[in-house]
Amino acid sequence: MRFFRSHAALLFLLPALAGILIFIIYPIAYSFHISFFDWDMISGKKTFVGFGRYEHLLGDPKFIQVIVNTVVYMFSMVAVTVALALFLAAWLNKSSLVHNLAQTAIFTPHIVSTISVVLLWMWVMNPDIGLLNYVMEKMGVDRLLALFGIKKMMWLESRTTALFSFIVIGVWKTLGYNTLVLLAGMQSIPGQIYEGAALDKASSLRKFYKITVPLLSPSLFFLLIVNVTSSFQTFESVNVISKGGPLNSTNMMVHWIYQTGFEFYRISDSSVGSVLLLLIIGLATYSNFRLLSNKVHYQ
Amino acid sequence: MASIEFRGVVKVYDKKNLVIDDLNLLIEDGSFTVLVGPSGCGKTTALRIIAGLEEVTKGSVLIGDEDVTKKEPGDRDVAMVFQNYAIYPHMTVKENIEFGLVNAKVPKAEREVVVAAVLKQVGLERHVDEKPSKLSGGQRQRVALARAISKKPRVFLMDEPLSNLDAKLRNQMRRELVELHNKLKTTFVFVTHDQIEAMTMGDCIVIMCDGRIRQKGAPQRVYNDPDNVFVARFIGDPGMNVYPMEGGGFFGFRPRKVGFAGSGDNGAGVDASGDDGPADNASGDDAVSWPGRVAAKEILGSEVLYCVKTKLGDVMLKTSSAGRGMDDLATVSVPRKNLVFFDQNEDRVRDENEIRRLAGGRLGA
Repeated sequence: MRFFRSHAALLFLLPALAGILIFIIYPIAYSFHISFFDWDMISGKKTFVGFGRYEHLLGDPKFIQVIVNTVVYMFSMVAVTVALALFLAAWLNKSSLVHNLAQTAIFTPHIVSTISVVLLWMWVMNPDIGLLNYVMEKMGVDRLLALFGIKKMMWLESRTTALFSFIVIGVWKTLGYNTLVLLAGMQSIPGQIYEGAALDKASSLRKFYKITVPLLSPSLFFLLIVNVTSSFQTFESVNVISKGGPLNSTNMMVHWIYQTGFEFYRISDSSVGSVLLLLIIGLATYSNFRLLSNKVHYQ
Repeated sequence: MASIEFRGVVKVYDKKNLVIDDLNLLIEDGSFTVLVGPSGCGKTTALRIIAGLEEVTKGSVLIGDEDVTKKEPGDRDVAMVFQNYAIYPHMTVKENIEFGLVNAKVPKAEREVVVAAVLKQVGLERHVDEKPSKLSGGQRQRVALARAISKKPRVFLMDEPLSNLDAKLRNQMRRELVELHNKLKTTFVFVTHDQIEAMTMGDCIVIMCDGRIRQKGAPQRVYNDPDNVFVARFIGDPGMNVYPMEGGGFFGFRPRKVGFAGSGDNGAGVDASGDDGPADNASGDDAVSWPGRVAAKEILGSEVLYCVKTKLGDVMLKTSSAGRGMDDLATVSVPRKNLVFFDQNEDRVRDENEIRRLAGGRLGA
C-alpha cells in the first residue's frame, strides 16, 4: 500500500512511458547502435566499424549533396513561408467577403493530402501539357526566356530548377497553415494598443514593425520551430515526384534514409543518416532557442 | 491648452444605430469636464470623436479654433488614457513613453529629459526599465498617464481610467488626477459611468443619456438643481426619490431631505427630532408625510440609508440616526419646501406660481 501511494504517479504514467520507450527511445538507441556496425543484410554479418560508416558517408559527395539539398530546402521554405504568411496575415486581418474568401483559398492546400497536392503540381509543372508553361506561353514569358537561351522551362525535370520547383510546391502547401496561425495571433492583439499607437502618431509601417511583429513573436517562433522540423522531414513529395532525381538534385535526408535502408538494404548507412538528421534538427532547434527565445515576448 | 467644441455632431454606427444625436457642446479651455451617464449613452463615443478614433457621421469638432474633424488622431495634439491602459506590453516603461516622442521626432537629449520628468511626476522613477507585466494595475495606470503627460497635449482625454483599480487606489488616483489638472491647467475630458467620480473630480459635469446631453453644469448646481427627472435620479447616492403626481408630472426629494415623523412608529420611542439632517422637525403643516414600513437598512458608517415602503413606492432616506430596525412601521415626512417638481415631459418646473400650485395639492395619490 505504501509502495502504491508513493509510486502511484509512476504507475499512471506507465502506459505513456512504455509507448515512448518502445517506439521512440529504443529505436533511437538502436539506430545509434547500428550506425557503428557494418551490417550486411544478405549474409547477416555484423562487424563493428566505429565511425567508419560516418567517415565513408561524409566523404561521399552524393551524400553531402543530400544534406545541402535538405538545408537549402529548409532555409528557403522557412524564410519564404513565414515572411509571406506574415504579410498575407496582415492583409487578411480584416473582415469582408473578399478577405474571407481569400483566407479560405489560402488555407485549403493545408487540408488536402500531400499526395494529391503533389500529383496536382506534377501536372501543373509538366513541361508539355502543364498549366504553368501554358500560361507563361500565353503571357509571352517564354519569349523573354528565349532571350536567355531557355527554350522551355523543365521545372521538375531539370537539375537546375527541380529543387526550386519543390520549394514552390512546399510553400503552396504550407502557407495557409502559417497564415492562419499568424492571423490568430494578430487577432489576439488588443485593438486599443493600435489606437494608443495612432494617438502616438505612429505610421502604419511603424505600427507593423514596432507593435504587430513583436507581439506576434510567440507565433512566429512557434512557426519557425515547426517549419524547420517539418522541412527537414520532407518525404512524400520526393518519393512521389522524383525519387531524388534528376541526378540526385532533389534527394533529401528522410527520403535518402528510406531509399538507402529499404531499397538498397544498406541499413548501417541508413542509420548513420538518421543519426545525423537527428543531430542536425537538434542543433537547429537548440540554436533557435538560444538565439531567439530572449527576443520572444510572451504576454 | 484649448477648448473643445462639438457642432451638431451626429454619430450613427452601421447605418442604423444612432449613438450621438445632434451634440452641441463647448468644453471650456482649462476645465476638468466629466462626461457621465449610463452605459450606451454615447459618452465614450463622444470622447473617441475628440481623439479622432471615431469619425463623425455629421457635424464638426473643433479643438481651439481649429476644425479637426478630418484630422488623424496623431495630428490633433491630444493624449488619451484608456480604460485598460493600452500600454505596449513588449516595451519597457521608458520605451512606452518614448514611443510617441520618437514618432514626433523629438531629439534624443530632449526625450531623456522629458521621460525623466514625467516618471518623477507619476512616481515611477524606479521602474524605468521594467516591462508592464512586472507592474501592478495602479502602476500601469501611471505609465499610461506618464505617456499622456509626456506629449504635453492641448487636451487630455480619459476613458474610465479608474474603473480597473480597486476602491482605495481609485480614491487616491482621483485626488492625484485633480492635483495633476491643477498643476497642468490643461483641458481634461474624463468619461465615467460613476456619478461619484463625476461629482468629486469635475468642475463641469455633462450628464448624457441616449446620445443627448441632459444637463451641463458645476457638480453642486447639477446636484441641487437638476433640470429633469433623469439627472435628478442619476446624480446623488442614491439618486432623488421621484414619484408621479395625480394630475400628470412628477415630484421628488433628495434622500437627505426626508426624515421619519415623530409618530406612527412601533413605539420604539425614537423620534425624528433626534436626526440632525435637513429633515429635522419634518412635521406639521408645511410637511407632507406617508406611513410605511422599513424594508432595508444599510449602515454606511456616519450615516444610515433606509428604504421605506410606502404607498408612494420605495422611499430612500438618509439620516444619521440608526434607531429604526427592519420591518418597523415608520412615517416618512418631507417639508414642502424640499420638494422639486417636474412636468409631464420629465422636465423641471421652475415657475414660482406653478410650484406653489403643485406643492399645495395632494401628492402621491
